[in-house]
Amino acid sequence: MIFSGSELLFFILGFLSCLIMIGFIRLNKENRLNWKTGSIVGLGAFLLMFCIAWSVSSVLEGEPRAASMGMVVFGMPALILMTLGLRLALKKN
Amino acid sequence: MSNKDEKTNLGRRDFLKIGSAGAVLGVAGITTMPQKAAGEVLDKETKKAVIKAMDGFPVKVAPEYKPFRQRNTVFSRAVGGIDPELGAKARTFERFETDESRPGFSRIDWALHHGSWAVEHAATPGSKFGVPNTGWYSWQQNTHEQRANFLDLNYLNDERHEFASKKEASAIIKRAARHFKADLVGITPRNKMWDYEKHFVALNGQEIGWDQFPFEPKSVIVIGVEMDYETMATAPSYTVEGAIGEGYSQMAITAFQLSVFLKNLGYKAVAAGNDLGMSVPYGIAAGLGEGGRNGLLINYKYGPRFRIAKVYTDIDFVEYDKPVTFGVREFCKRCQRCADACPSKSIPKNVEPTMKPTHGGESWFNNPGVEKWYINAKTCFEYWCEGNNSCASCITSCPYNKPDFWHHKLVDKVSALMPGPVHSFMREMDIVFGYGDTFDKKAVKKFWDDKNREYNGY
Repeated sequence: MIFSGSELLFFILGFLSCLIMIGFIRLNKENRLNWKTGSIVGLGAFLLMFCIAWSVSSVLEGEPRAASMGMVVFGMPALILMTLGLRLALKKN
Repeated sequence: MSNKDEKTNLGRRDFLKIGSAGAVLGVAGITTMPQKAAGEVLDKETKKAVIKAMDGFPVKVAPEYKPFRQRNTVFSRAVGGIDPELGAKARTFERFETDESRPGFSRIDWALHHGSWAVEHAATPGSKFGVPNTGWYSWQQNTHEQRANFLDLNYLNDERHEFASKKEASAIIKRAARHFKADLVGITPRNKMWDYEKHFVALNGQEIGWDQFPFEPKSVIVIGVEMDYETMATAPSYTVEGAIGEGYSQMAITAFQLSVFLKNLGYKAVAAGNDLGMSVPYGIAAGLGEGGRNGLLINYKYGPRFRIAKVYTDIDFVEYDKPVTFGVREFCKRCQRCADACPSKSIPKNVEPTMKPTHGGESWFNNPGVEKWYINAKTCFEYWCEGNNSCASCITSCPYNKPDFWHHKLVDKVSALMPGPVHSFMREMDIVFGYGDTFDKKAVKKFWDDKNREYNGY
């Protein structure tokens, strides 16, 4: 194998971070986010990344239950925060 | 381009700006940390906030503390014929008894058990009961002339190598130990408090004094050997003996090779497993970890999932390690997962560590005068005999027993920096996330599962 699972995970996370940053900048340009909305979207995006990192790492270490729980504990709040943040951002327009 | 377009689209210029900023940051990072990955630097810096070096022994020891007599260990009493009732139980231990319907107790698990222990039993017979001066843990310090034949490399070189500095001596010994497959190494001065007052040969019931030891030890090199996480998850079973036996076998190999390395440099050395002194306080003194509720040494990287060997030597021109603390004792106060998981209820549940046993039963196997949690070694050993295996549930269930992955290190660091109630929360999360299960039939199945394993290197 050329890359280990962890190396591939962090490469993909880097790529995703870049996409999220671009998306955040676009959202800010289009909707002029205030600090509250920006924080909610930012926190949601961070939790989403953390959820992916945690769950994939748990699968790699052979602990599938920890991966599922990671999705519930970190993934659910991430989705809620991102949905809420995006709704608040788009509502202004 | 219209105003609207400018607002909604991320143009080439913006991309260039972001790209340039990223490149500048990257170059700045690379030039400031030329040979280290950013993750390693982050890990090292955050460790500084969590792992604190201590100047003295970090555990309270009473002035009236006395060194422990080895004849009072459970193994000595059981195998050495001192306690006939315990001896009768000990004789039932490791009986050939398999059950194909019980995961972890089949014929192949039994064979794994024996295969793993084979080196330990052949090379250092009886050392698992603490028998001193046996096989590769022999006390002999033969000179070049006294060696058996030209193939015998285990002799004391009469030309002593002088190290340029203590730091160099320490670094070379540790590098050699790592080469001999030690996962952890620490060096500490020899301390008579942690040595057995008298040695005990359980196989013949004989006590030996330190006057029979071939030299005056000055330093103790403490070696840690990791046990496999996946195998450890099968506790208690014959399968888990695979991890324990493999650890003991590796202890013998590593400690013996390191002792020969030191002898070749002209320093007297004796390799030891469970004999000569108590491994946990020596491990604490050598900076390998903290003592946990389960009576085991908890290391930052492996938790309690490692075995300890020692090399007693007369070299004292070395840089000694300092004991460390990273919040284990505080965490153990609230966690108690090992106490809950222990099938024989041998681990106490009192919140604070004490200076004497609190389990209320016989206590000849405990040595009071040290602030710790005193386990009931007798009921623990009786369960081993009943279950016909070395259990190890206290290792498997410990929240510090995790694979070497970034997210566990993160949780450990957060936990160490947070106050007590967070520790209780962490314990609950550890259970909810499915870590540390014992009597886990799926773990045995997973151990033997051939899926996603490659054996031929490609």
